[in-house]
Amino acid sequence: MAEPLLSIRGLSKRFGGLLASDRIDLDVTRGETHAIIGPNGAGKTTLIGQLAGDLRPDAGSIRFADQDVTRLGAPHRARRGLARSFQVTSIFRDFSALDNVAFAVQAHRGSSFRFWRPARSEPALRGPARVALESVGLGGRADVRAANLAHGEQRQLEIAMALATEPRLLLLDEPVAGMGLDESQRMVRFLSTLKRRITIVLVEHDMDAVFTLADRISVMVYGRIIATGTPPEIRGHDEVRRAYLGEDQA
Amino acid sequence: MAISRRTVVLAAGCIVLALVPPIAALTNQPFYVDLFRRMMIFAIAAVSLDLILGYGGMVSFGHAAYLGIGAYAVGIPAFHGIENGWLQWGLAITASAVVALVIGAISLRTSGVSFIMITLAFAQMLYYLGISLETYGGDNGMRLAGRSRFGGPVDLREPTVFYYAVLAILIVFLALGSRLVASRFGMVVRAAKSNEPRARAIGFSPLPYKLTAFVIAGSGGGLAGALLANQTEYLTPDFMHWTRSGEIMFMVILGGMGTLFGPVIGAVALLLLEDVLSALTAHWQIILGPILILVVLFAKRGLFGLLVGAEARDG
Repeated sequence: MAEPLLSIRGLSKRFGGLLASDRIDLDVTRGETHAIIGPNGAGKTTLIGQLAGDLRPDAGSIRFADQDVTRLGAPHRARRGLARSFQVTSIFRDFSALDNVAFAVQAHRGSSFRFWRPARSEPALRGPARVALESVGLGGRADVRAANLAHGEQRQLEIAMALATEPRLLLLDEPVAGMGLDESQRMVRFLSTLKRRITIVLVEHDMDAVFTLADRISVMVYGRIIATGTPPEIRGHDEVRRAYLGEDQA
Repeated sequence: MAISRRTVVLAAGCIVLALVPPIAALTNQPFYVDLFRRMMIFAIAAVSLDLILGYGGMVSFGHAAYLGIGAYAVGIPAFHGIENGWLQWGLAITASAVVALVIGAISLRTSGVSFIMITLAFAQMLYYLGISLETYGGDNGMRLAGRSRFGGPVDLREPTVFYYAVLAILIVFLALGSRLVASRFGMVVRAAKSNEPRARAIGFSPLPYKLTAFVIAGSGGGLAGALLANQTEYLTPDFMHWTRSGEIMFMVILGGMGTLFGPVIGAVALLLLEDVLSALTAHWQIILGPILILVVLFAKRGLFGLLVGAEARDG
């Protein structure tokens, strides 16, 4: 059996008196969609920060794609194939939608210490960017300034930016947050088309989305992962029901 | 394809600048050749600042330092009898680049107010270094022994030749600049300004790109300094004073940040206002101040934005 794509051991992070990550162990196998759920304040954001490379853990290790990346910053992890979306949409607002995606492609294709040729006339950047935009359904909006896209479209754009880099792992931080019912259903349908092709770590509050998409779910409470299992296992897990899911999901 | 308003404005600007010497000769007002040459020299400094200020969001409050370095790189060799322009200007560009590398490597580790203050502090250090150079006139500065020599038909002592040399340098500088901001490199610098966490998450470490841009801007400022020394035939530490840095920044803001061509209009407008208003009253800054405030408040892309409209943004 191959090594998991992402493997976390004993990950700990303390903010003052708060143990935001408490000896977390987690494996994400290639091709799976792994959801991380938990009540507010459970430490999901801290975990994401450490996975993406924005936060340095106090202890523990992170292995990604057969390499120890614990000490690597976000740009290095991104170049190794870890793409992410942010909880609050994070795009280049002054760039057009296509520019946003082409720029993501640029990060993964050759040096950017090139000073002469206009980046907008490079087919090697524009081509894959168009494909990624089409795939999320923004093909017709390529030339719109990103700031002028609707909220849902901006979230799609962020996914397109992540996909354009042909990532090994997609880290999605609440991809349907703030979306209307229609938009969020469309996004879930789209994400389900990515399943198997790309390994996904999904942090999400929307339980419909989580139970539709996830192959496995890990439940975080107070900085610890209290359970990991398939959706039916998690639904039936007593501790999880007490700690988190509550009556409406039971 | 229809000719855009932007193209029209740029072509018109080019023609106006090219026509200054013949018109000045016809109207017997040689002073204007001098004035417009000065404007174009400051335009080069302002455009170089726009590369980092407008496109990179790096609010460097010490850009006059490079003017001074460039000026002294012409003045000191000239003082010792070395008048070769290639050497002097080459030195001006190289020395500014090296100083920018040092200032940038330290200041770019910070951001916001700290960055502004560190760049300001470095420029003031160089200003006081200039004052301490007793051999070269200390705080009085010194006369330039003679304008840089290039041989052939390029004789800078000839006002019109010098004028067209500056115009040519300005045009080349703008052309290189517009390639630069549209290149892969330029995209990284602009993206880091727009959203640095996003740029990092995509896989870019912005620092080396920002530092390179900072060095390029510094060498542009150094070149402008070499020209300025030739223009005034005099150099003083005042070239590096922080008020001079503020003036260059005003040119960028007045003309339009992040428009590359706007700062040229900003430089022309600011020096023209200075010239016209100071003839009216000794307290001309009282009038200049409100004009600047109005532009900042009501013209998002500066004067260039007013002229060109929505196409002001380069790309």
